[in-house]
Amino acid sequence: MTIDQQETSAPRSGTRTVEADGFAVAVDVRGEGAPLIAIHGAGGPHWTGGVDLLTRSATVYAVELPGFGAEVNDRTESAEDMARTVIAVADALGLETFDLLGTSMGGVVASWVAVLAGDRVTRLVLEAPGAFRPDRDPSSFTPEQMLAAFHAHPERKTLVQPDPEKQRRVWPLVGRIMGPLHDERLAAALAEVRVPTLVLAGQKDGLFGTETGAHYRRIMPMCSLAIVYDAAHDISGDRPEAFAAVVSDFLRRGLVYAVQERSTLLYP
Amino acid sequence: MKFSVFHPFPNYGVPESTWPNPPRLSRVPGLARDGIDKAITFALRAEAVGVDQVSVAEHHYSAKQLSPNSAIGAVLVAQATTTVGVGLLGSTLPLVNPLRLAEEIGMLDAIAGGRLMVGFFRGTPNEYLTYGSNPWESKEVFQEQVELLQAAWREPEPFAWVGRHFDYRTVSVWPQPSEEIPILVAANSPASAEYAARKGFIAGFAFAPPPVIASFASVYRETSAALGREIGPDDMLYRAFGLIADTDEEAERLQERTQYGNFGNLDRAMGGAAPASARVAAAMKGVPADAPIPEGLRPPAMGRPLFMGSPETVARQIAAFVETTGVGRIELVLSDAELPFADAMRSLDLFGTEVIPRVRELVDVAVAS
Repeated sequence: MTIDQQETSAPRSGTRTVEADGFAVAVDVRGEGAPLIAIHGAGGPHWTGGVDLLTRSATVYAVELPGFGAEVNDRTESAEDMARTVIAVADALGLETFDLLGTSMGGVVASWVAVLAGDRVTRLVLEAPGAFRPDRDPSSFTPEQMLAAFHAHPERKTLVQPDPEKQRRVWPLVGRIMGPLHDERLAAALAEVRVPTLVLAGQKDGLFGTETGAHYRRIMPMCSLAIVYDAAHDISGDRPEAFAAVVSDFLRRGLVYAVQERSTLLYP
Repeated sequence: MKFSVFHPFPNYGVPESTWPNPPRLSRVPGLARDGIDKAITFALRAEAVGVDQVSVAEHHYSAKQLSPNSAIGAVLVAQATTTVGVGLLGSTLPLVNPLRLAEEIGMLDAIAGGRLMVGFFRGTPNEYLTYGSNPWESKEVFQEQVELLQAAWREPEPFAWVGRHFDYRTVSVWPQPSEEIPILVAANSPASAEYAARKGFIAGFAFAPPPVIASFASVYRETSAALGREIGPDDMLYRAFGLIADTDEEAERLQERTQYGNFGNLDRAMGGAAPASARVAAAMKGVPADAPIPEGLRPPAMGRPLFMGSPETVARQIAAFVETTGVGRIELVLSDAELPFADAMRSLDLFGTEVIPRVRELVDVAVAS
């Protein structure tokens, strides 16, 4: 599909597979509007309530990163590596420029995409990104603590139990993508990235708190940190309407989203 | 144990009227200034006689309590005094911009560093008429405001707040208040006592009789224990009317004549009996707008101060209260618009010089035995 064809006709919804960087990559496409590539977290691709709502104003390309499907991925060494794969996926999809959403582990990958291909990323949105994280050991959490760390409102979602076999298989790859607690190279590179960036941090995120978001805000020249009230790590699942409203506003207006458009006029 | 006085900053000599008091009644030259001057005189004396803290609150549109901005009241006290604790107890959150309040606390902290305690309340029913705040949403709004305040207080970088009731795209409070400032919230119901415990705040009780307070204190203690937090007497504060005179008889006479500490009168003066206030009170308890207002929503009010009499009598009453409830911070209201200022100052003198040391003695004896 050429770029011209992609711009004049609505993309087909549904899953397709593209060849990118030597991988066969599954991409689930939904919605209508400017292209938004979405990169999932360690749990694999998942349409949260909030990301689903984004499809009303964006064509969302939910990429299944190599290794998170049926096949093992021993090749990808790091988030930077995976970022190159994602850029290749964008090429294969015919997307010259695109908005980019990265969730948790996917946020580290998305950060590197913005570093490596900043001229192609029109907006960067990072949902609880996994870079610059505090030294907390989740393996010390009780099951209740783990649930609360991820979900402020489990009653609003259908929680899927992860397949333990698949988790075991994918965990080394997750570790390689997450990288060190604090990646100095990434930090130095992000300081030069001029892509308008929105970092979302869940007020009740038991894994990363608001620390990672604060760090992004501090080092990036064009970045806004949004703390989402009553949301844990799964922000777009806990506060879908708020997530979609703020993110779609940011996608439309960039940092100008800080200007309050909501009318206060009550009566003529 | 800690002892404080709450000062309502009354205006004196204003003719009675229902709430909201018509503004024309305030246009007496020097009226407000006189009320404030007396309050500052009171605060300075409180400091001199060894009271630990002087507290101010937030009430609007009323001659009885001239404190529409608790931060201004607190600044007036802080600037006039040197060492006494200053209690902003408290701000009526659903009425205020939480970021503005955070900034005010930051400024207050800058000049009264280490002396400050702040409190956050949902407010009395009439206050929901003050700026037209929605009472049905007040609990949710209050809880979000507390979270936003704490974020503004702690976050090192500017942030946007994506709330349910608040949508701020740029939050960057300067100066940021110290993390050491103790925070108090009203705990005058089992639900709010539980909230105070969950948040790790000081529990603020007020005006209800000792057995009722003891029950709220139990909830606060038990919830705290379940969360692994050990709390002590200084984690709980009780505010009540006090009237101290040289003898029990004199206190009785003074109270009869002035009706000082008649909570029912105060409630009526603050518009509590009005139909709108009744609807607000019901709303704050979750009664829908179109449902009838249930009977007995507000418990019968005490007609006289709980702590009243000679210094020895009042000291024993306070010690008994402490023993019944375990509350370690005692805050007395010793003045209002009805009590002649000289009598309020006498009450204060006796509180500081005689009652406080005597309570400490009695409580130590009780603890030792």
